[in-house]
Amino acid sequence: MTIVDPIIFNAFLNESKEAVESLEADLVKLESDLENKNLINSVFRSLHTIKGNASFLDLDNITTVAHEAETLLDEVRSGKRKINQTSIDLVYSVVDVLQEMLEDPEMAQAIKSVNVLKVEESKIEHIVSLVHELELLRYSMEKLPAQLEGERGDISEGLFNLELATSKASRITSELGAIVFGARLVPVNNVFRRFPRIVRELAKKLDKKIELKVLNGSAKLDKSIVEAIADPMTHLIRNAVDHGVESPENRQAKGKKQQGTITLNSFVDGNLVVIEIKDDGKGMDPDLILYQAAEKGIIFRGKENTMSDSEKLGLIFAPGFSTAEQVTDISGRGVGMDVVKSNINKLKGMVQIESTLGIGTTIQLRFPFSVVVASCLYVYIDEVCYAIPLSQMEESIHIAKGELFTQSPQRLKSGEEAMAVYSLQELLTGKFQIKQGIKELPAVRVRRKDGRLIALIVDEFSIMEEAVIHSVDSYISSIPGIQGGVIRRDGLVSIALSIDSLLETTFKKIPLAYAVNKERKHPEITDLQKLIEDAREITDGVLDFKLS
Amino acid sequence: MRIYRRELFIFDIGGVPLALRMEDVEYILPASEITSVPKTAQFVLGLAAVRGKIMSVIDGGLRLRIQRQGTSYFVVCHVRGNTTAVLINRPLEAKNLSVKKIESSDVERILARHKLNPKMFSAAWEILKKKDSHWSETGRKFLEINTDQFVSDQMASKIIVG
Repeated sequence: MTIVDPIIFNAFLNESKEAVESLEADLVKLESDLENKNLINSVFRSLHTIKGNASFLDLDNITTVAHEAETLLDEVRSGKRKINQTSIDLVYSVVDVLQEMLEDPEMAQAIKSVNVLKVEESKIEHIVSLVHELELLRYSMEKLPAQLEGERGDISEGLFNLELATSKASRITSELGAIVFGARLVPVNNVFRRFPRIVRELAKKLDKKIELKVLNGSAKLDKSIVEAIADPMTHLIRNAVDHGVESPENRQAKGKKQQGTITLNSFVDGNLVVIEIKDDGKGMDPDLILYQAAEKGIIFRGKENTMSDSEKLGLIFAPGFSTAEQVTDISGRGVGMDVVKSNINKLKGMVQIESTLGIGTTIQLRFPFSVVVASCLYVYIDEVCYAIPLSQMEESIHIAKGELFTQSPQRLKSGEEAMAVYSLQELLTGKFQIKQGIKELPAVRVRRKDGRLIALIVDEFSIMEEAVIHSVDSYISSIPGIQGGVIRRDGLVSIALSIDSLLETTFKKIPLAYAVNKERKHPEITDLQKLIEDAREITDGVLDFKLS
Repeated sequence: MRIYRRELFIFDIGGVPLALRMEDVEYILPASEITSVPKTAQFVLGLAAVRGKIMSVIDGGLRLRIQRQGTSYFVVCHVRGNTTAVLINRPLEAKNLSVKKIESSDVERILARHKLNPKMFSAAWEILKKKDSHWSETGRKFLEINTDQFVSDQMASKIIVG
């Protein structure tokens, strides 16, 4: 092996491991979509990346193996060879060989303990511009002592400049800190990528049909957490395949689709990043778990009457507990779930479990975050600036007065979609104030988890930019709709909203009105419009109303 | 007379001299602009950026039911595991002091004069001064607060310390 810079070598290893993971995920999809040329090209590209990098570092073994698989894929691309299960299995075995080579202890030795973080170029540019600002600040601060001694100008001017410099320094350090913290954040998709292959292999071994769906892998966590959750998540997913999802025959007998589904998802909930593993399998019986826990002496008999279902389900995390009727080489050795819980706890995370017998099980890993970087739209509501992460909204819109109606949305023509219209101010504060002289209401369009559309009226749109969302005290982040805080460029704080959590508490509220989701003038003049007109008569009062 | 040594930060809200233990206080700085947060207790003024961090701001006056007057400072202190900015009027002194406990009748008089809730305070002190190896009373009296009192029990039940 050629001796190379450990940083370059580490970058090679990271990139190759990522390429192997993406290769595995593509192969799983390709198996059920053999003619998909995009997937074949993507597999080819991943192999080509590994080969190119290995060749650059004179890693002949890896280069040769990747080259052989690449040739096979090239023949498929050019139509000389037809892709079938045998050729896919062949590429899988190449992947296994590559993985072994990349995890070779000699390789690990070569990189010693160098850890590398990828940082976007734009962030480095931001750091450079902040350093320039710091230099200018230092220059202006050098003049301060003389000003404060009254040598140049009066002391009050010096004090004013000192305060100005302090506030500027505060903003610069805050931005620098946020970029540095943000650089450590990586999407949880980095770990999600490895699971399609695991699920495929296990399902095959157990003669089960299981699809792994990734809903959203974009939530970001500290790199060290994302790396550390790989093992506990693998354990939970193996459990879901082995004990959760039933055999195709059993599923059919229960009236379920033969193919089971395991869904991975990630999202932000208040000041927590949540990773969710959900299966549509047989679910867990709290009473059976309780019985087994008592049998194994994990709980004292007699205590069972006082336990809730969720407490009973929580017993699976007790040391030595296993509900497996048969101990298998896949999971259910009686150790594991307690280790999963303690590993997650070590990362300051929590594990939550929900299960319905016959329907499935959902396990959530919940991690507090210190900062999250997200593109946000800033909006004003009652003169307060709020930040809405773009990931939580579809788009910003303007609703003309005439588009509002209060009649039942069922009366719409086919093809038209109605949006329930709420005032974001009312949802947040319980008050609703109509701004004077407005012909169109600015709003953000949001799609609820159940697929229905909602428009949230705001007072005014402001800028859109990438923001660093800081966590806030839990008694503030526990208020529905509040995710954290953002320090704006002017040094002031905006509240970062969590639209999902706000809507959770909104389900029972009656919308102010409905609007059609397309450019369309609705002819109906409604009571609501009159109400809005009346409200405009009030000059500075706050209109506090709810339609009922 | 029993003499105590206390490391205290003494400050003023609406003319009432108050004190916090120095170990609970991180620093004091002029108050900056606060962003109000909906649906919070009245004495939670909102959020502010303090030295690059976002902190909850609690109005010390409203919490203790004392009318704040004039200039305002943030006392950044530890409140039930969180770092929180408490709005006060002005800092008076922060040092290792020799103090004596105030007679309970005297304490009651102070509490009654300012209409204060006795549950909010953990002790009442008077600063002593040493002169010719004798301790003498200075007449400077103040009430000590435990920082935990800055949040209500209802808020405290929602605090998760990571």
